[in-house]
Amino acid sequence: MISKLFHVGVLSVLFLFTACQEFIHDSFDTYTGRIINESGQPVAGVELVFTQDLDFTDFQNPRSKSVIYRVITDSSGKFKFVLPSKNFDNFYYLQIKPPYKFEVDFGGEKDFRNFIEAFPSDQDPFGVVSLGDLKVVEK
Amino acid sequence: MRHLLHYISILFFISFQTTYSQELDSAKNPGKGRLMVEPSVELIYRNFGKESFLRDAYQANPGYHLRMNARVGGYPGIGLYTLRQNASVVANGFLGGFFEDAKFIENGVFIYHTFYLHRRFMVSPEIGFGLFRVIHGESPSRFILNYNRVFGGLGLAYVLIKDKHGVYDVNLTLRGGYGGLNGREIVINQSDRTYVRRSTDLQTSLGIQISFH
Repeated sequence: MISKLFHVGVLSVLFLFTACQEFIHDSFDTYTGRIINESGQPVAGVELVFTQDLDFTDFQNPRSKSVIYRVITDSSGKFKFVLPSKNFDNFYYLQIKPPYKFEVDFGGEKDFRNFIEAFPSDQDPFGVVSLGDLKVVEK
Repeated sequence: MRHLLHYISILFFISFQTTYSQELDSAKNPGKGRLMVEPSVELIYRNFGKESFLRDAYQANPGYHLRMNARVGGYPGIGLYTLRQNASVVANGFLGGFFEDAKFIENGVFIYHTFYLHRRFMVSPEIGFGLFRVIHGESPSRFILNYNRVFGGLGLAYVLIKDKHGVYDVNLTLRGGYGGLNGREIVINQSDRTYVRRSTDLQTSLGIQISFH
């Protein structure tokens, strides 16, 4: 009986220890996408910020408090971010710099924001999260 | 006088040859059949091959290498080693700026054979296999990358001190090795897979070995 309890205790501690680890060893998440304009053409040279912290004090234009990556879209409007996979159910923000804003569908209506959310739960077996074509407008 | 000098030179040459060849004969396999245990500690420097994540993402500092070799004189030996190295993380597009430093830890096994070139000078080719880990951060925010490493190398040893009772020698060692690393368990997108998973490395180390026999 004591032996069983001991085993259960050890397993519980091991489970908690593993579950508390922030990162998944030997694993990277990749976020990819393409920036396109209203007519579906790729937009090169757009500055994007990948972050976990946005300051929503200015709700219309939240600012990134810290930057994980800052990239410029290539000639075909594509971008890619790679970072260590995390265990927790976290998510990231993709912020776009002026003069652009993302055009998003918000309850069937068009909304224009300077950020979108990126969820790692949408990844494929190789850790790739495809954000697809992201439509932007100059605002 | 001239003839005398010639004779002396010839005598010196012959005596040197005789002495040296005798020394070589006895030095070919000193301690043949005897068990030898040879721990060593070495200062190590490692350079990763070009076009790889391990080269681009880290600036490795010199580290240390502990080895425990064992052989029976005249026969190939087996060794275990552990290696520790600290590295700074260089700005890169893979680690998200989450870490400033990393530790390289490697443990492995190798086989080697020691040839005596001279009573005090040995050369030891070796091949081996190790588990190489790159550890970032501290628990619970620890991120680990695991690689397998297959390597070959050559060690040179010079006997600095010979115990008069023949119990041990103290050797100065210089070693060079070339390895291939493969992180086949690492999950990453296809376009970056080879860059992150594969690398080569060149190691050089200098240290002290004590050979007990």
